[in-house]
Amino acid sequence: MYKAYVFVKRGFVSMLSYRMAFVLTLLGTFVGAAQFYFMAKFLGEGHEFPLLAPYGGNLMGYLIIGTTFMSFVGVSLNSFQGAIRGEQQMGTLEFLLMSDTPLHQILIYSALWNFLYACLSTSVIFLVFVLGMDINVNLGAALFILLLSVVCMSGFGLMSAGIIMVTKQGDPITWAFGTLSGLLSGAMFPIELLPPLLRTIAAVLPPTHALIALRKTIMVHAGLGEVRSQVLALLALTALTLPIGLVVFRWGFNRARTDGSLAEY
Amino acid sequence: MIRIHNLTKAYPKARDGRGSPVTAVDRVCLTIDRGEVFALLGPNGAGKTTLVKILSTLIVPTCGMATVNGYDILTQSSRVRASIGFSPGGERSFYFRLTGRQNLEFFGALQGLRPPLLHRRISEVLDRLGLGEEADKRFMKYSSGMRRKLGIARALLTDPPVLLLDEPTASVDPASARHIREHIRELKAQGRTILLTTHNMDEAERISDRIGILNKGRLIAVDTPANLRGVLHQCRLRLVVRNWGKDPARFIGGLRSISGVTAVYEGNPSLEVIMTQKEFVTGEVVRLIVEHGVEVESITTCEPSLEDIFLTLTGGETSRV
Repeated sequence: MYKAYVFVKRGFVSMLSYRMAFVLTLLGTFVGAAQFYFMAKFLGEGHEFPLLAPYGGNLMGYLIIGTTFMSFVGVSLNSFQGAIRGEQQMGTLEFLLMSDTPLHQILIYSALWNFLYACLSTSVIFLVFVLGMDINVNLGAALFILLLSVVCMSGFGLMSAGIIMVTKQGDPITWAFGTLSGLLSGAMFPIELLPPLLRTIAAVLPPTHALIALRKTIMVHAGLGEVRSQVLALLALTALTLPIGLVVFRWGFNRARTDGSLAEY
Repeated sequence: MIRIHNLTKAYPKARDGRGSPVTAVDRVCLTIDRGEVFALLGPNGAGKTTLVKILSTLIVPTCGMATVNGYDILTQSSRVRASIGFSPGGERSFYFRLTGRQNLEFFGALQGLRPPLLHRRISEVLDRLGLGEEADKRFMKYSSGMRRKLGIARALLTDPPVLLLDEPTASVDPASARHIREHIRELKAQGRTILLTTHNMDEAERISDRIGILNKGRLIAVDTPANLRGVLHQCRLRLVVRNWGKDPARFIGGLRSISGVTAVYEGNPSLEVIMTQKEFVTGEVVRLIVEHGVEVESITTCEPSLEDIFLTLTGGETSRV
């Protein structure tokens, strides 16, 4: 646990040294929340949304959860490769790899700070949302879904990190997963609107299931039993993507060690 | 303490992805004993850093084997890493926004050290390297010398028996370089085995027990500084001439014809004679001076410098990258 602590402390100290950047991030979330508030007001004026009925029909809540969750998709996808690239640029990667700490722990601890930072920067918007709207949150269930989703998507993050070890910049995994998730997982509109083929693709994307479960647990106090099918889908996808992610990452790492390019970026 | 046998690292292409295959380390065999300071000299791109990184388990060799502190670098890599402290060649190996102390706390914790031992070790190494008063400044405010010292401090955190120091005094001011060299001597006195790479031949001569010269990945010479001088079998005789006599051309021609003289470099007023048989040639030179009526202000002989040896062995090559 002490190792996890020093990683978080390192991130926190660095963040404090860039105070302006953090304040601007927080301000950005406020502006984003305001944007969605007015958008929901405009779209919701005199309209009902039958497709949002399972979530209490709350358009603003629907949109805010969708966009906030996408920032966690970004964290899951980019944390590992971002950590590696950051350490390469800082020139510290080789020292981390030479330490007594196994590689998987280094990745998890690096991602831990990014996750906490994402929580911190989205907490404001979430607090405004919870306090200012007529919603009924099942916090325990929501946090469980969020954590499970992050772990599930980390499989893709690991694949991306493995590829970035070799290519150094630009990987198709992040691009494809990020783009498809933004378009098809129901972040901004219900997936029922999609044509059947795209709906099939959406069904294999973890954010699709995560968003349905999160919206239900946050907006209508659903328990884990009520989102069982989404939880099972996320567990199945985790069982598939995490081992593949580990294999791809190990491949990239060994390739870089053989090429002697671990520190190159 | 460090045993290297036929170690080879070949890249299928040059590191920029173009060009022909490159053998960065070529069948290197070397043994470094416990408590020895070994300096690895070589031109840029000779393979020094690659060799150090292979020993640090950061690069996988193509073939051959090596052990550090009795552990195999391929099959016991975590034990190897626990046995070594590595100080890098560049200045970019710390977090710029963190202080020196915070950096050491971070890296020490990753090495398995826990408070209060961690904090005690940090204070010890910082004081030993003269960084105690600067410990709470951000790393980005550190000078080059302080950054090198912090690198050595980090390598010492776990009190390892083997130290790998990649160019420990490169781009450091003379005072800091001297302090670092003194510290390396102290570390040797503590019984540590030190492998350092350097471009600085004077430094290698002053602090190392033995020197290895690496060129194009091959270890072309390994010996003590004194024995390496013997490898060259030649020294220089320098004459400062006041009066060249009646026929300078005949005098110089006479010098060139002496058996054992390999070259004569003319200057004004000085003259350098490169020779392999010091006593005989010196006697013949004195005889010619008298014979030709040359007036000489001084005659001095110089042993070959390490730089002469280095340039001779590497064919005068200083860079191939």
